[in-house]
Amino acid sequence: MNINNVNNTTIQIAQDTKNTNINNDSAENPVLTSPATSQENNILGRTSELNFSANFISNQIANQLKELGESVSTDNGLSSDFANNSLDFVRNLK
Amino acid sequence: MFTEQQFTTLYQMLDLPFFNLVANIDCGSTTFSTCHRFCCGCNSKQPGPTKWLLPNEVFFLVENNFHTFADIQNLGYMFIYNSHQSLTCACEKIREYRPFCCRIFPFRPVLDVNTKKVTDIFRNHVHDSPCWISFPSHLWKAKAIQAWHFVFSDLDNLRFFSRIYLILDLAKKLPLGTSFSDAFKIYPAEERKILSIETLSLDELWTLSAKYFLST
Repeated sequence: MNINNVNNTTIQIAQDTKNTNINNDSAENPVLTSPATSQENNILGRTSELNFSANFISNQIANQLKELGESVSTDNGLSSDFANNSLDFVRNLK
Repeated sequence: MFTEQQFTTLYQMLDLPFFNLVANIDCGSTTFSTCHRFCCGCNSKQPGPTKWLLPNEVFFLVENNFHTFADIQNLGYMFIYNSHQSLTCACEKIREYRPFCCRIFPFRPVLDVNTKKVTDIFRNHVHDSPCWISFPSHLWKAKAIQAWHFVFSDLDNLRFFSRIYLILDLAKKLPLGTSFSDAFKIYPAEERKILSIETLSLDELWTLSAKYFLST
């Protein structure tokens, strides 16, 4: 997979906060994918704020995460757009 | 990935007094330390150790209001966090939900790749030089080994540390500040490895994870 593929990976949103299996696509925990409704677009819009540089999760967004039970993942376990980030964070992990 | 209940279990495993040879002090909950809160104090403006979260740990923490006390950042391949203020431990007022990386620091696991067990812990002397903690109590050490073993019972956690090792290995070949996209242009084979971690066998994941904890 190349960088372009990574940037185009689908953002999946699990509706159930308690559902820790982010990729769960069962009937009880449906996964929303594009094309999205307006409400879903709002969720996806907030999700995009979580992606990468200068992407601190504010209290407001975090609360929205909590309320919406929002999870972000891709088919390979990486969030989209990670390619723009620096490698440096791994140099000195606690 | 770990469930909420599994994170609760993991945290409880390490809810013990942390002894060193001279004091019985819970790191981060007191102003007494010789490290001057080296780990706690760092943030985006004051670099220091990167405080990471296990896969799914961010959702467990946000669910329990941790974000009120910390800035959480999504790097795409992992979530990290810092305190809002320098020299203030993010977890100071929310000890119950102190993340795993802080609970386990400064000790790393020793992995036996053949038996797929955690056999010991050792202090990481490379990145933790200001840390005042010398030795854990025997009880804490046993619990830490148990906790690490629990962590590695989850495939996504193994994939997480394996991926971190591959990224670290790549970072060492490149100058500071290099982005993934630039790195992958130079090392396309590494790109394929990092992005296809799910295809690795259990043996390969244990091997890579073991290499990570021995890396400097």
